[in-house]
Amino acid sequence: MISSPSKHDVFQAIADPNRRRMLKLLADKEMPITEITNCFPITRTAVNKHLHILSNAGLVSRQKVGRETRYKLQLEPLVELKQWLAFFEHYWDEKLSALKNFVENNND
Amino acid sequence: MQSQDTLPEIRKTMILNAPIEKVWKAVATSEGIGAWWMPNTFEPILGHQFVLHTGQFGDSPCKVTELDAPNRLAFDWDEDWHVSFELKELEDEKTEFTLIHSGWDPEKHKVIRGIMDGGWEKIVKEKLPAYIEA
Repeated sequence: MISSPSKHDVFQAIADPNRRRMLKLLADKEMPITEITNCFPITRTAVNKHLHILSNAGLVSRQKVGRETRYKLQLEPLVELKQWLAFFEHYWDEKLSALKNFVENNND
Repeated sequence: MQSQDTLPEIRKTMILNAPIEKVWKAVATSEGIGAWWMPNTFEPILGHQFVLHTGQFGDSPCKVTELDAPNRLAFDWDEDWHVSFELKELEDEKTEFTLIHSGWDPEKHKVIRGIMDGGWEKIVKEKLPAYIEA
């Protein structure tokens, strides 16, 4: 298991729809906060807060370019999603065992 | 190990001690799916759009993409996932059943939306950590 120094975990970070949209935007290109804010019906302060959480989760990085700070998507934490796959493996094991039980014991 | 940017599909095969028609009824009818998986509005019609009622996690939109009774059923699940049920008739009234759950594509970041917009926050935030830590 990857231990990350993140204050927010990646799942928490992507649990919010605005933050998911931000990640999508940043997946296409690096953006300064002004440009990100223009894409959302929320205040710059709120956007900043969300970016802060994403950054704490290691999902975005900040880079100073001249006078502006640009935000960039970081893919590495998404590896954690692999663990999510492990969750689903387990999920299906349970469901398929229910299916087996259903077809083998349910007599019409 | 897969490379970091491709996630494998989930594939599970098992042998069921039931004839193929019975298994097909269990996996390709609304009542059947409801019995072992989730309540739903499924109908065995190609292109049919239906909903999986995932309870507290909300409804998931699905669409039948392949239908070949009694051997194969496939449907889209939410925006990104794809689920297939494959049935193969064996001797002695047994059936080989394969489940394939694919559409894990972090490269396009679709997976994030797929996972979370399906109403899976609770699973991810509560059940997953509990499972990993168990």
